Amino acid sequence: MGKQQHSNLLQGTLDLLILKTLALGELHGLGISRRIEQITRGTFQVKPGSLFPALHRMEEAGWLSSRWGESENNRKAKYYELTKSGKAQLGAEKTEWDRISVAIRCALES
Amino acid sequence: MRRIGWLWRNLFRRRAIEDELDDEITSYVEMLTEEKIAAGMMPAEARRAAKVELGSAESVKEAVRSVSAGIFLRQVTQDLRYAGRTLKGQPGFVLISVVTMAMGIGINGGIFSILNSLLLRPLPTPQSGELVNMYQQLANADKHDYIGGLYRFSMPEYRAYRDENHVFAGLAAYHPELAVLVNDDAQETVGQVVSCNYFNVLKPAMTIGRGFAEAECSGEGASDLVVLGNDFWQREFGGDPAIVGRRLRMNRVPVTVIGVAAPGFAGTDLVPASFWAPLAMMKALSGGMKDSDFSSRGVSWLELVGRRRSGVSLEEVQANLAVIAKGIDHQEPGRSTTLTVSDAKLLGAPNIRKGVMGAGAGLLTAVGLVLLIACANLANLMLARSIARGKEIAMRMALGASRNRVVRQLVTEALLVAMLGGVLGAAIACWSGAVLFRFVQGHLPPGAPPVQVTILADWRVVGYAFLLTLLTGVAFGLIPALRATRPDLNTLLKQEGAGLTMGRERGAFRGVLVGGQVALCMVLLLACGLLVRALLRAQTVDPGFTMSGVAVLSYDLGRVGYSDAQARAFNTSLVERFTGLPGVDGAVEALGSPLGDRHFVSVFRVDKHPEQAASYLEVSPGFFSLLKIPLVRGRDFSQADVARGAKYLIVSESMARKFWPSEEPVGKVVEYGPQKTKWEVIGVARDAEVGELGENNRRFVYLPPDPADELRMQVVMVHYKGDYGALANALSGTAKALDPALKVRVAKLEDNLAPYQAISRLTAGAAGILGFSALALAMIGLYGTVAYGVSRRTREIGLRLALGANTGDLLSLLVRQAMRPVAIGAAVGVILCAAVSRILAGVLFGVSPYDVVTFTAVPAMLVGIALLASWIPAHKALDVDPAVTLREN
Repeated sequence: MGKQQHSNLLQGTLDLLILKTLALGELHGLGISRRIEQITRGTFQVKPGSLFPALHRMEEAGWLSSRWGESENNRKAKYYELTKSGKAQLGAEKTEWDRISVAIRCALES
Repeated sequence: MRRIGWLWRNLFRRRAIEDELDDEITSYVEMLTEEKIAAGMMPAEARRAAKVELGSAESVKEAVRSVSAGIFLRQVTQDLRYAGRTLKGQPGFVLISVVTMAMGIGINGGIFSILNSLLLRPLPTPQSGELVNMYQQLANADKHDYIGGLYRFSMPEYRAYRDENHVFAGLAAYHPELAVLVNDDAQETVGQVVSCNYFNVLKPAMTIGRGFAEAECSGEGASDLVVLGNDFWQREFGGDPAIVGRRLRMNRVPVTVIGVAAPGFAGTDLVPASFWAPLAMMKALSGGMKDSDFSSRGVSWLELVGRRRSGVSLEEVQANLAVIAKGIDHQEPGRSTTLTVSDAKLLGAPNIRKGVMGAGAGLLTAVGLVLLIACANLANLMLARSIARGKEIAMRMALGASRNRVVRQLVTEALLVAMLGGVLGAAIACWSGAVLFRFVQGHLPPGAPPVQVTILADWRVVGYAFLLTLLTGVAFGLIPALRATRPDLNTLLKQEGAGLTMGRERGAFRGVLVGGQVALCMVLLLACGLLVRALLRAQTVDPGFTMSGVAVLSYDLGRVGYSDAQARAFNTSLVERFTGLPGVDGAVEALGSPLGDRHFVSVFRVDKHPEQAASYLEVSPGFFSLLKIPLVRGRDFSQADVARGAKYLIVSESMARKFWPSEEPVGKVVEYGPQKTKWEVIGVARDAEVGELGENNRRFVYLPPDPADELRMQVVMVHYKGDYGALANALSGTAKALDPALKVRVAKLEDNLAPYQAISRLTAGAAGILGFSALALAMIGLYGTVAYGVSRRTREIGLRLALGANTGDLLSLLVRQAMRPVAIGAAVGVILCAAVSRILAGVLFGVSPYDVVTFTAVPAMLVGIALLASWIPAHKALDVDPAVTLREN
């Protein structure tokens, strides 16, 4: 429940996290979810109910591309990778996020 | 592009997409399981934990689906499929709804297709989008004659607009509806005289030959050429290709055929033209025209149609023509011209357009109201259905379907039904317009112009039907759907049926539906009642003069080439011979007959009073006694007055009151006509509806025959006793004996009422059909509502009866409850109708728009029938044995 609230609260945050995660290289669904957990030090645990819709939405938007491949344990898995426009999007969202976080911090400290 | 690709895949590669999604989630679960095993869990436990972590696979998939492209479309198809399945199980409901909708939309669309053909469709000529109609309205202009229409132009005005404009590739003029005798036909043929650029401007295709050339019309002399219409050519000459170059006689004038227009072109007016002759032929063909009428600005007789230069907008045309109009105004002090310029349509004249649009709007509104009442019934049905399906709806909402989604599903069902009805209705509309138009044509009075219009359904009609379908579908689907999915549905469902009385709110909604139906129905029935009263009045009217025992003989001497002197001799000897006929006790000549189709208006002035426009008639001595119009003061004209050309006139009582409220009118002097000659009043006649039936303005002036108007004296009225048939033969025989070639028409004076009766019959008929369909629909609705209400209250009724309630009391309780919305609706309807009935005044012929008889009889009838419609189901419900109803529940 807690994570869903996060995703509601910070709309676009999940997108940013996924884009950031994939910037380091292609990953499958579970991998993405684990990586996010890792880089946010456990703050965000992305559940499949929000992960998969986000992945599909971003793929349709052309930010991600996908292919079927083999996992570490030789399992069939769907891998996602950033496209060119995905990289551009990551840059844009980063800037936007910086702008917002600075603004929020200013607001809180004033 | 990418989006469209995904849309395509999501919609049409559904199976592959779903499989892939399925695989993806399976692989996710498997990897999660492996992860957990690696962390030390037992395989079975790990699998369970992975599944728990995933949650419902279906809901994850649904979440993915709901963000993918084309979700809306997919839901719509889903809804449609589901609606199709649901409706398949309810053929009765579907049949009733579809038929109701199809009838409503079909008739509505049919009427629209008539209006479309008259008012909206461009003319059937090449590049008709460039054609422009032009009309003028004048103030303070010295116009002493309008031939055919108030918005027409005179020859000099036409020349000014034609020669001074720089916006038209060509501006043509024509005079429509000219009836002439071709060769020795017994029937007159209707054609037009046109300017010689007419065919160059309209560019109709020609079957054979050619149109007129400019050179053929220069000069005032008659150019004896004629172009024939295709139908006329086929009918009269069997489509003989050798017709070009043949000589015909029109009103005894020889003319040469130079061409035949292609099928489909019959001029630009309602009355199709069988031939076209150059403007200069007007004098020879019409009889009444003088040479001076061609050069005078005072005689308006031309309709104008222009073709815009390419690239010139309607606004530029307007601006340019307004400048020319200003120039003409300058030549006549005080005159001001208002021009109306519009894209050319079949019905262009602003007054006719306004009239037809008004009538059409009225009719469409009336039919729309019936459709609305039908919709209310369907909404009622829909509501009953959705209550019956309450469990299903509650279940879907409990399973997490949003209200929005369920409403969409229900509205989709309604729209599907509406679409079925709409498609059928559009088909009916394509056909009913032509049928309706033919029906109206068939019921026009004799002597009405032979109007011919091709009623075609085009994209506008289909679009209209579609729009109507959408509106009705939403109207009878949305409201019940919103009510059925209200958030408190669960509690409501539990209460209703289990409780003793009907849910108050739901009952209230039904009450609103019933009340609305009754109100609309009341409006239609009241309008119908008023029109029926008007019909009765037109049938039994006392116009203030005697109609029985008077025969009217009419003819046109000018058209067959008589001079004024010849005409005088003819008229005099005709009247002399008529007086000598057995059974005839009086014969009088006049410009026209009372309530006839010829109207004469001029201006009259007394001292310093402002000018009064009033209808007038030139009548010979004996007119008043023949028609039994009493002279309340003064005396009739005498033969001696006429012989010496005395300037005497007789006025109606209303006219006398207007000019001299408290003085003796006889002996007063009146200035008459644009020449302002002085005339002396010698008598006052009792008011009579001589000009028009039911007219409020009864100011009327009678003048003695003017020798200059001898050719226009086209009517002789004869008072007779005995058999009409024999007398009619004697009358036309006598006229034929004087001039065998003259075409005469004999009719009873009562026949002049026919146009009024025809109008009343048509409007009352239409209103009657609509009113009674509305009544039937509303009463079915009321009956259904009451029956449904009592069927849900059988337990309450049974309990009341078992506890010893009096059947009579119970019945009156049920009926009273049912009648409350009816009473409110009826009151609203009466008020609504009273507010709008003014617009009917034009066709009521003197019946008040607030006619007391109608306004008491109709509500009484409606409420009476409503009582019956609610009493029957209530009574039925009380027939049951209380023990049975109690046990059943």
